[in-house]
Amino acid sequence: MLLQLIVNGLLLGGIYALVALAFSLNMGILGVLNLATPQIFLIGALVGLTLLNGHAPFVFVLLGSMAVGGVLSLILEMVGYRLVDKSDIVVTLLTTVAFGLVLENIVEQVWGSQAQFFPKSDLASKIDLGPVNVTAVQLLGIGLAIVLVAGLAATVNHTALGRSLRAVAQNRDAAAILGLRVRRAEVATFLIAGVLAGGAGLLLGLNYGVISLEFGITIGISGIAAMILGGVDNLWGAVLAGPFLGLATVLGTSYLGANYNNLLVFGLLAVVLVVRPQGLLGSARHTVNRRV
Amino acid sequence: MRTRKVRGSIKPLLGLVAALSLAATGCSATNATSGTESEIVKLGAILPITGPVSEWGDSNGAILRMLQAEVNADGGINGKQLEIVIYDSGAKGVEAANLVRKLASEDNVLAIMGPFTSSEAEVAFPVANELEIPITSQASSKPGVAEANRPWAFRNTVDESIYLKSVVPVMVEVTGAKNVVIAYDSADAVGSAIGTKILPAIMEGAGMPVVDADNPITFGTTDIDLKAQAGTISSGGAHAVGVGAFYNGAAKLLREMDQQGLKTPIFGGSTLVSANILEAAPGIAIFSAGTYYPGAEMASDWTKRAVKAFAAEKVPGAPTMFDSQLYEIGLMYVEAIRTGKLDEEELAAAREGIRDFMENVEGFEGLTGKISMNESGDARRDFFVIRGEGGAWSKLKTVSP
Repeated sequence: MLLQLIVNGLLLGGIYALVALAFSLNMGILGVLNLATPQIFLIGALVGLTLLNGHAPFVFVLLGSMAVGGVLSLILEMVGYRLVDKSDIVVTLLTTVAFGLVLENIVEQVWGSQAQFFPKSDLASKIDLGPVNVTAVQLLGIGLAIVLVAGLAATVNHTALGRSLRAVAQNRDAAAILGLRVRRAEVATFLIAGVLAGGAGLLLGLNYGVISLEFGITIGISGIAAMILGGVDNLWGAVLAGPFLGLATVLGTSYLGANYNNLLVFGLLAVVLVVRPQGLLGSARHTVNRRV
Repeated sequence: MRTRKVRGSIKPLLGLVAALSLAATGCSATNATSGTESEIVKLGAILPITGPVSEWGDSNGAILRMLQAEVNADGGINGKQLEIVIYDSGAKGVEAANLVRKLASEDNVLAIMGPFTSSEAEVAFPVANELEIPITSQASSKPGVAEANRPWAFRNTVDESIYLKSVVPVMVEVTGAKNVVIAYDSADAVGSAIGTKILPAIMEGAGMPVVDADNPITFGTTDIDLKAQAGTISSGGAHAVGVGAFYNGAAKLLREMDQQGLKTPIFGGSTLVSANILEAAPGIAIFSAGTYYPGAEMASDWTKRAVKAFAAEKVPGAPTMFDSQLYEIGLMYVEAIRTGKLDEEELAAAREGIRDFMENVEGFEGLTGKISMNESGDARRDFFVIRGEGGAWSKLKTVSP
């Protein structure tokens, strides 16, 4: 039982990690707390559901969810980031809130505000692994999380785009003066964050067989918590904190009950932040310089 | 530089204003009739059009528009047109309380229909009492909520404990269950009341062992991961699951049970009755109770009209008891205004007249039977024990409390 709970917690954490990474990219590189991420996540799931209901192949469904997430994030970049005063974090915060509200209204109009159930799929069938069992979609979720994180790491550390991202994270104006392609880095950041959110939405929907409007808020809070826990100025902190929060959520629900769950999860978050205010992997420096 | 900064900042703020306006439009809807103020009789309604139980709010809105059209097509009320002012509470208590104030003080309605949930009613009813305006919930069924807010608050609902006392023996008879587990939404007032008080007491009275009596299964309204809860149900080996939750939470639990291969039937109060829950796991039986189900013969004509109204407004699913109960509240208010010759010119007297009418309702002809109001402000009426399976609700038994 305990082993199964640990496995479930870690697998849920894989999805949290993807969402946290989406938050962390925007926050860590551009200093934007993108509060439209939960709605992009939600639309990713709903687009995937629509494609599944249309009997599209799974690869196409996954790519569709990620592509829609990416496109929505690019639209947000155009209307809510490119044209505004980026030096004021309140302004970008408000534009992402506004964009999220618009997306939520679109969801209500297109899909309705009811819970939507995913069709039964072989991906949700159990795979027996001795003392524990998992579903294919859970393995896919954690596998995809690992692949995406590894791909992101390679991009950040070994490509020209990565150098631009790191430079923008340290000092946008200096990067621009030095001739680095700052615009490209900003667009890429939004695009990757949107792709991650859209893909995570589909994986969560497949994992639980249902997607509902309130999932956006729940996953958004968990994603932000994981980002803070991992360290706002370090992308990889989200990867560590996601599974940590997933584990705490599942074990807390099982052993203490759902009514103590938020107390446990956010209590743990508070304790960690008291001991390490910068988060698990965050920089101890007061100024936010290195973000990737 | 400064000018540029300001120009840059205006765009998102305009966007925000536009988006908030869009969101606000979705949050309220006012049905205007074509008459002047003196030719209109106004009633108010607080519905959960958005939020976790929006399925019910959506269908409630369509039903009220149908009621308004029917009353007005029938000549209105004492020669005046009926206007129902509808607001969306999002199923939030604070919002519902604010809307009571708005309807009573700004819209000057004669009486209010709603709010929907017990969590909302617990906050909104005291405000209605303070402002001395009749208010009647179409769905709140947590024991004692109207009783605590006499004399202005009413509910056209049956107490969940009365429902469940009838559901449990029928469920046991049909399934042969020898023990149960209890799972409930700890974040919701009526879910907690069912899970911690009503069901344990009924099970004890019935001599039915509760497998998880010492550590009941809980979940939150917005929880996503219910794998652990379904796993506990599975490992407990219980024959049935008593659920204290609204349909949306219960549907998530059902779906997870289905994903884990469980076919254990669930049972609960009226909060489970919805079209949406039937989609979650059509192979798992749901035992519940209500004053109406779509196949109810007595209400067949009304059901046809409601289905037509739903189709016109693209409301998914079939009508539920919360639609029929809301419609009945509207009929009672209309009858009170018509027989008492009440209008807005004597607002306080009109509200008092409606309150007196509601207090003394006895044998009012509802859609599925006669309705009387007890001294607690709750309806006393026949109801049905129903079973949801294979995508539809069907009647198992009629109960006369």
